[in-house]
Amino acid sequence: MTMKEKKEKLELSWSDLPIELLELIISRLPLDDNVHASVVCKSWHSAAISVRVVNQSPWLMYFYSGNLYIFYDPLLCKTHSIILPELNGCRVRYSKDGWLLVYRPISHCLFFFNPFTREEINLPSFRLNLAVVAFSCAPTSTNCIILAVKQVGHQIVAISTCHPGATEWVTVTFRHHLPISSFVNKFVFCDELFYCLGFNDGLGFFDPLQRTWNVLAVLPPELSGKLSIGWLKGRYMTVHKGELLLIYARSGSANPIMFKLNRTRMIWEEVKTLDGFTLFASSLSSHLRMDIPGGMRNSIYFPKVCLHGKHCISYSFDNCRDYPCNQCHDLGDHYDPPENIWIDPPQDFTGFT
Amino acid sequence: MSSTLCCSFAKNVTLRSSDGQTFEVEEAAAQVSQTIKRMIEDGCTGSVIPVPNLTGPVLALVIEYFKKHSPPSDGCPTALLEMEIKDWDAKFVAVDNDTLLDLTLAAHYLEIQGLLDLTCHRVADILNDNSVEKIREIFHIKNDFTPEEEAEERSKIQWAFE
Repeated sequence: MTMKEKKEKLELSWSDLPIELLELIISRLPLDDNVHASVVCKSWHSAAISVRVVNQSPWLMYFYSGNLYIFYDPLLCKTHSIILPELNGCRVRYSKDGWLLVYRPISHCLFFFNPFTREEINLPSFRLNLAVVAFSCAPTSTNCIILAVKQVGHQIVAISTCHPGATEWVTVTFRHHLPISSFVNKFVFCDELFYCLGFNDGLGFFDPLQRTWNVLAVLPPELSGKLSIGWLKGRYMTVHKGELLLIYARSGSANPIMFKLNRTRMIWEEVKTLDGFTLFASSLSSHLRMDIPGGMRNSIYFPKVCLHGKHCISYSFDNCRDYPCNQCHDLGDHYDPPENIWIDPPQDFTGFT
Repeated sequence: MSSTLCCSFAKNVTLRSSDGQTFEVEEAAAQVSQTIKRMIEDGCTGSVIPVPNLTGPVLALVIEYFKKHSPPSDGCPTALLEMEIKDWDAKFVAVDNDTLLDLTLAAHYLEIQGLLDLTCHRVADILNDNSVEKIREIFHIKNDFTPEEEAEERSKIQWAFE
């Protein structure tokens, strides 16, 4: 090898990759590895920064008093409070993509509300009574479908759907064996279907396009054996990479248990890790997020703020423990106040003015 | 009918590396590279196609990749064939880091999307498995941060190191 060749060979180094190539490689890394790559050297630093995606955490919205609501940002451990007269006499029933679905019983009025922009989108009047409601995606999207399910007789359910801009609801009734209650049932939208989890019953699913309802003979994991340690505090269902995920939170020193639906064998299988994801759980709607920074990954965040609004109760799968420590919040305290709900703030939203 | 027949005749092109080595390869196989495809379309086929950014050994490797990934003459690839190619790909990029760098640059220069995906994926796996210090060692990268700068960067993102 001549000197010139040797020099050329030496010049070809991983730190001299063309920036666009380096960015391409680093953009394939999860957030943790992106951060590690950014301290390797200066050229890697600028490539890593330029392709880094950091997702915002949803905020926990809860009612304080009057029309005052608190929004808690678990990433910065900061609270924002705002008066929302629009929600006077209303109850929040579901949340997704930064929007709330809200019901005003006195006028039988169901509407979408964005607490950050204060936008409202009205829906045709509907007597909700004890119906369970959910929606597929933001009401500003053309694919948005709203679902309301209620028990109308012995083993009979009425399933109603509508979309923003519709003039009326379309209702179909079905005979089935899933008793419907908003405290028990969990609705999630996954793969163009609304799934409904009952308590000791099967897993129902509604196809909003075909208007068909089916109940799968897949029973939720039983509260026996391992699960009987500690009583059940909450059950949450969400979607993880197109798969249904079910989480049981238990009292005392018993850790949450998580299951994934195996669609081939039609059973719930236990899973041990969230794969770096963060679950924001609440009884109304639960959300899974990736690329949340800090020690927030592989954790479940419960919809409860303690220590004078400073901390959210969470459980870390990595450290197998609750935060803050158990004693701080386990004395008869409620893990999951039913009205508390997670909502995505707009990108770069810093607070209410 | 006749046009289909005429296109299936194998036509060769000659590629020349930076150090003057020449390789004969089927034109259809070489067109796995978008860069070479454009050169052929622009009429460079008469003479030898120069590939000045690649040395002989690297070009030889890339040509192996071309041959494996050239479109099959009898239409659609079967699922079995796709699986076999996937296995072959995995073995193809299980190389030392210098070769991996050469292949990444070659895929970039010759616009071979499949190979670029493959090498980037392999590099990402290596980055995923190793500490910052180890990454510098594996890829022979000089740390050009001052100790103060590095400490500051690390303190900003302390959470990722916990």
